[in-house]
Amino acid sequence: MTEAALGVRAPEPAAAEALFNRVLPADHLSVRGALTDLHARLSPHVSADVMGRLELVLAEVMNNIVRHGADAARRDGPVRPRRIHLSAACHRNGVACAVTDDGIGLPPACLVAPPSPAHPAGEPLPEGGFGWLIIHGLTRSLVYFREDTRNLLAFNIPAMDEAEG
Amino acid sequence: MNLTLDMLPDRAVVRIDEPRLDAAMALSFKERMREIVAQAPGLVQVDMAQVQFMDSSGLGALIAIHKALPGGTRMALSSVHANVMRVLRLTRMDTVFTIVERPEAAAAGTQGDDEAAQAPGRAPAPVAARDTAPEAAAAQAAGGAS
Repeated sequence: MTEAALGVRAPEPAAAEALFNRVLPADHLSVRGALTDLHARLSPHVSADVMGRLELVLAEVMNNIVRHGADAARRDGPVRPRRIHLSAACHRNGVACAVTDDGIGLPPACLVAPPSPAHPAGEPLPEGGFGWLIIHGLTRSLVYFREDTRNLLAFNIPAMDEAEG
Repeated sequence: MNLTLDMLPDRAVVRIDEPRLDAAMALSFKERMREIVAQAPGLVQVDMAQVQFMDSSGLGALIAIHKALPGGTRMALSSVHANVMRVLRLTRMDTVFTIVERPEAAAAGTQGDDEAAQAPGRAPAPVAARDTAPEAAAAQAAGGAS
């Protein structure tokens, strides 16, 4: 690779430009609070479009954790308070995110992108199940693994969105 | 959950006085709106100008409200923020809901709301009552909702 090509590829350092980290209890109001703070912290560093996609995806990911934790508590009785760890780093090409929690494991089906929904007239509309559709539609490089008692979901929100066009 | 309700002879105008339609408030929004659409005269016009964020829980509430519309009652969403539009588009719900640019367009539409939205010049804009709505209307809308 020539120096000129390198120059084109890397006009500026790829270091993170802004970071947001938060540990929060797994409940809806804490999720809202974390997203509000994340918005205030990162919106000077990313476009309104990236901010909108970032906030939406994080809301869906964390709402899933809250909801499925509540399901597990109903099934298995009270469980110890669960915590979500959220990290987001703005970089040149978008925002890199990692969300971990100590809830139940993710069903493998969630990791397969669902087909785009059609809503034929006359058929009852679904009221849920849109969370993973949104997550898959707006993220890149989505990875999940479970280690001991923790789930980790990592993904990138691209600066340029080719999915929505 | 703060809503401002203006019950006009031909329609109910509901302004969502919240910046976020999210999981934390989806349930109270759904319950309050179900009461409103049950009494609405023909058209429920939902002014979403203040809603800057909606997640799939907020969308689920909107869908439940849409399904709870009595026969012959229509619902139109107006002043939909780009972040809210993104959710509707990704889930293809933009093909289900009637979405108009401005509140007046929903009332002007007789056959097709899209047509009204694209031709705002035709809209008579009879929404002056909204600005002079008595505070009692707001209190009524907020009553019973947390």
